[in-house]
Amino acid sequence: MLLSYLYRAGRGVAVAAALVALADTSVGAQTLKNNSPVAALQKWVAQIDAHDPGEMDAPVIADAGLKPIDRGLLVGIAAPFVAYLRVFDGTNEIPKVRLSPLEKALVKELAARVTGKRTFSEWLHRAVMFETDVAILAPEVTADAMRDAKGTGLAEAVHADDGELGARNLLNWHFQLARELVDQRATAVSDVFAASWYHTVALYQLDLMLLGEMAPHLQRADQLFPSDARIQFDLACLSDAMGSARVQAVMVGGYSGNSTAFRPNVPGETNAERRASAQFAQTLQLDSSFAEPRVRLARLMEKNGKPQDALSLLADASRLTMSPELEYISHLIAARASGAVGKFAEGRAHVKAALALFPSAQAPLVALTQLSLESGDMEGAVSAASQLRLNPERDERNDPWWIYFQATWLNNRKLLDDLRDQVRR
Amino acid sequence: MNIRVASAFVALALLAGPKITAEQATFSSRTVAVRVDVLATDNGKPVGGLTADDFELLDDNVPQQIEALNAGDLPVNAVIALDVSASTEGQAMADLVDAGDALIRALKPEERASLTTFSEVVVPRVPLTTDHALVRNALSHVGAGGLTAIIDGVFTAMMTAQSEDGRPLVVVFTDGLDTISWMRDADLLNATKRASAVIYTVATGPARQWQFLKDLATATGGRAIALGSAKNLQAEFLRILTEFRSRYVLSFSPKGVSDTGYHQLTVRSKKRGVVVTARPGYTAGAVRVP
Repeated sequence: MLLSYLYRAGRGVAVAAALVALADTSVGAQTLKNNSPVAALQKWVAQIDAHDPGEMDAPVIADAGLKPIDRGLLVGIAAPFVAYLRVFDGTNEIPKVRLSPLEKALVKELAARVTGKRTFSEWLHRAVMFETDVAILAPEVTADAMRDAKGTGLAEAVHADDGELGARNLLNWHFQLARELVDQRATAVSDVFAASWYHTVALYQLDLMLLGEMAPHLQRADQLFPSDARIQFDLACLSDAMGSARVQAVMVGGYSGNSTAFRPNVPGETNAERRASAQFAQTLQLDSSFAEPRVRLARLMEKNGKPQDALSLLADASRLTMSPELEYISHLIAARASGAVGKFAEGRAHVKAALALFPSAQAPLVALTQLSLESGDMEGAVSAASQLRLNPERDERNDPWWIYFQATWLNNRKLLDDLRDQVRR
Repeated sequence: MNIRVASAFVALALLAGPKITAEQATFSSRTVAVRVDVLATDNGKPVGGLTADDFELLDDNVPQQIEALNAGDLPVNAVIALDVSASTEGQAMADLVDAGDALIRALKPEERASLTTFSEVVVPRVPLTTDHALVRNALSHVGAGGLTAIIDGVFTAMMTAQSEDGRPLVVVFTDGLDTISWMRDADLLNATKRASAVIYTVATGPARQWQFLKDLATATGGRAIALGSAKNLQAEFLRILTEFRSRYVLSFSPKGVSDTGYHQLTVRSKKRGVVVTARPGYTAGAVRVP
């Protein structure tokens, strides 16, 4: 049998390449064409094996460029393949699959080969990171390949800028496939990798404001890890971002005049913030030593007329470990909350502290202008506003407020690299 | 008679009221005068030649004596606040620069101009100055890019307009909605109650739908203008300047009203058919402790 021969002959990319090349001259080639599901699976398994995690290499480009029909073939056969992997892992009975005898034999052989090299978990995690890399490193290639895939049942995301609706894109199916792979682990709930992966990818999606991707991602994560503070925090950040001006602008500006079919799935500001507040509070119940949800909850409290409660939360947070960015944000919120309760001197002290952390930031100067004006000090307000002129040029300005809703400082890139390191080993 | 009002509403801060902290009192001073910039129109056309006697002014429903009326004899402090976010790249930016340039050229030599640009970055590029060439030069070097911090940008422009004695005018152009400001829309609307600047907003694109721009113009006695594109911006900017020059500045020293808090203003014309547009109120003194 072709697969048995190759399995004995060697492994890795060379094996997979040979598989495809030899297919045309073998007996099996009469039924196993290049465009068959098994051929798609073989290519995919070879790509996973050959991929260097984090690199935009040939396997990534090839997988990202799959057309809708190829995607259909792969997704259709991936499930029985993983079922066979679990057989070899000893965690599954022989599955009942709707494949021809030849396909069944080939899939089984491939599963045996894969598990002969790595444990089921190791391979699965590697496959997950491969699909994650494809989604992250080559989204344009996928979008281009899937351009004609409308009507395939894949959900869409709307892209907006400054309130203006731009393109509509299908959600990146590689994120979805990666999720389905993670979920194949029978013990996913206790899988440390799975929880970290869900959290890391959520932070990546948040960083790029891929909120349409983030919603189904976290919906699944919440089902699997309802007691994981990181996942609850991610959910809260998603709600928080939904309530942000950048997102709400879509409903004010771009949506108007468009057909109802174009309606983005965005909750109103009040609903989004209410949900975010509850989720940040839930996060703190799960992990009271988590500073960031405290600061973010404080911002929402201050915004919704509870400056004293916000100040109390911020005081608690100041006793915990914070990144410079979070500490900066914390001071800004405290400055605003202090102003709201008439404590202008305290407000100014917080502005000063924020400026000490990020001297070229803009928001503290705006906050200082506002505090001065509210305290009746017009000259101080004019003076504070004029300081903006002294700030460096745009590219040199560094204001964490600008990336607050993306939470970029949570360093998803580093977390992604950590996950890649795990599958490299 | 002209009453000199020290840098606009600075003079409005008051002696500390019963709920004001000692700290706030540091910044308080006496109310000297309140200036209200008004537009009088008949069938939408500005009405000239009016005197103080032609107006009726109420502060918190208490009739006030109009002590001075200026009609075009106070120099304009014109601050141009331009959205230079990524969406203005290309022809829109060229139209913006042309419009701003035309407005500056139309100013009298003794009048001041200033330029503030905003993407996510707010840049008060040139302070108020009679050196119009300096402002025009800065305008010619503006480039597009980034998100839109309209609220922070307008706030900064408004403060710049208050920085010199004169009639503060802020002309704002935007084609998008705010996506990144530190201040919130309510903050800016509150801030306008402490300043005397009149804000005209000119919007294209999604910004045309934005109620906030209308609220902002209304709160300052200005006007919100929605355009199909930036193509006719130059004519619109010049119309704004012409309209602003046709306005009157009424000055009064509040009597029989509280020294602190928000004051509702009502300005009417005694002349039949004349409609008066003015800011709906102002805030005096420091913020009260809740």
